[in-house]
Amino acid sequence: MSTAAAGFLQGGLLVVALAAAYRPLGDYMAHVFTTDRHWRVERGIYRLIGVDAAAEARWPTYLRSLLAFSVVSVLFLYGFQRVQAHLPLSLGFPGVKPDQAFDTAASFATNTNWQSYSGESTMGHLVQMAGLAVQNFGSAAVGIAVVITLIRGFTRSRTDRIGNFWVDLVRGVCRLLLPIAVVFALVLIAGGVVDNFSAGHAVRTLAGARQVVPGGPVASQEVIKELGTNGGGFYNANSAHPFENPNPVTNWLEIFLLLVISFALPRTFGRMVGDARQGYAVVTVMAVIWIASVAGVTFFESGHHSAAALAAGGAYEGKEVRFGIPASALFTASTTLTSTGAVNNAHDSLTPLGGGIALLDMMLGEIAPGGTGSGLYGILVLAIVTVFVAGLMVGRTPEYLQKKLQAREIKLASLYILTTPALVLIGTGVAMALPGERAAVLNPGPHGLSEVLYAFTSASNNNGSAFAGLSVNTVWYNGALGVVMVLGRFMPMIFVLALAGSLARQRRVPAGAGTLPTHRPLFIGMLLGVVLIVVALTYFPAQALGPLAEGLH
Amino acid sequence: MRGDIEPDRVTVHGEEPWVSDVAFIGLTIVVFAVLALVVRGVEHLVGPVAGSDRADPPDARGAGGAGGTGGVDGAGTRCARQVAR
Repeated sequence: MSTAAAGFLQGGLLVVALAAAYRPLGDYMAHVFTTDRHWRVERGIYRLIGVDAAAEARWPTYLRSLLAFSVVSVLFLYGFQRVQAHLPLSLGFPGVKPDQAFDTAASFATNTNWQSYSGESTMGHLVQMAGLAVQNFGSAAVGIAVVITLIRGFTRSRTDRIGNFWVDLVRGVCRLLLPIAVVFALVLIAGGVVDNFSAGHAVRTLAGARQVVPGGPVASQEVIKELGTNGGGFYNANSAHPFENPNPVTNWLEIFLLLVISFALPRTFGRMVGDARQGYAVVTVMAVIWIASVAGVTFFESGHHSAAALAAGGAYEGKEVRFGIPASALFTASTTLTSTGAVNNAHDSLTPLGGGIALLDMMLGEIAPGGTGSGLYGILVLAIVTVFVAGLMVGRTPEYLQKKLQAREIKLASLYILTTPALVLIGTGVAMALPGERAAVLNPGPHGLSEVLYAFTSASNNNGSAFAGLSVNTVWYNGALGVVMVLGRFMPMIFVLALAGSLARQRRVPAGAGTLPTHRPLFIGMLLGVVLIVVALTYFPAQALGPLAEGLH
Repeated sequence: MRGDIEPDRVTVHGEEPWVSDVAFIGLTIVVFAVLALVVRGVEHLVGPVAGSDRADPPDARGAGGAGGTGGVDGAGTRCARQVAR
């Protein structure tokens, strides 16, 4: 079978699997977050933390609960890393240094999982399991809670109650993430992913040298790394490591896991608003962007634009031979469009335009399909802007899902859209302006700018992948990227939850003759246009100076 | 690979002074305090929220009514319903 045929087969099977999971998983998630019944274990948790599960909150209270949970998560994970040397299963590693501990704690609590460290030589098994993996569940559940709350804003009327954060969080973990994670962890183990408490096995290499091969509880972390669109790998090589991703089957499965919840959430949205066509419209936009990205990265990586690429049959530098170019391109596009950030190949070794697409995927705001929860609420905010633009064209007050979009809603949507580009561009500008930090760029020219731009784009959009060649394990970068990750995660959430509160207070407006249908091809096309124009053009100058300059040279 | 790792430069984890811990814990608190201020600012932008943050009295919950229905969530938690005005 040719490489191209294998690539089409993998991609085709992935589309079929995601389509098959769309309805059952989407409907299940809708049920999870709308049912009145609490499980016994959930009631126990509510009693333990002193929460009245029946009480719902207004949006500021919901948000403050979310921020309180997150700040405690960051501080706990920071402390956990700092005292690692005194904990069991530390494998003899000392405490993580303060700046790196801060960066890692902020990273995992914000679903970014940016790793300025090498897992197998820095973190003991207990910190990996009880610190990092636990945050993987928590941060993913937080994202889902926020999007469910936004959907409630559309479905409710004349109320200022938008939900109970603790109920949403616990249900997200107990009913959604944990059960799926347990099942697929076993599948990954069957596929060859390691899961043990071994500190390492000493082996003799073919050349006669001695090498320690580290083990660890990898599969249990691997599954939530993908499922929760986290991305933080047990090993430094992430999903390029044979213990995390041994073969093409596990590679396909990991791509499926990192896409499945985000692609099913539009169905949940459609079910909850009472019109499945709304979900189909949103998922169509996501799918078009995803397919275009996969095609683009595959095209550029398969090109023969250098002697090495010509000899090898494609840009194989930084790729794993067991995956090849199509599977690597599929993983790259999927991971950068979903805020996962896991990698099965070296992104710094991507061709300039292939890497430019990976960068653009993150710059789009990671909405196709985006992170667990964050992707859907991102695209819904863009849908609000689209309806607003359409309303301007025809001189009508814009309405979306029977709610009027007035000045307040548009201000909140605009603030949402402006937040991450501000963090990206200001952060990159400051990093390039400071001589000391500019020296951290190891590659000259446009690629050096691309590396810094990629770092701040990844941090702001909570992706976590990186180009190499940038010395980010410094106090400045660890601190700056940590701050950017926290602001890039929670500032947008503030605007989304305020939007939910504002929408929930409105009366429902019956659709009229002049209401723009938001399930038809016209709206889908307009939404695609808004995504590209509003979001992508924000970054065009930066793209022109980095990847485009390098690629078109 | 993901973050930058320079394999030939092993990070030396010495005993860091506690000042660094205080600094980074302080930074965390400051960043979240900024977020709390942004919440306050957005509350002013959105407008006053009716009532206080105390739970509604029991007869305002689960009283049935048309408010909040529509889609699956309309049949959700009983506190979502309010007396129709």
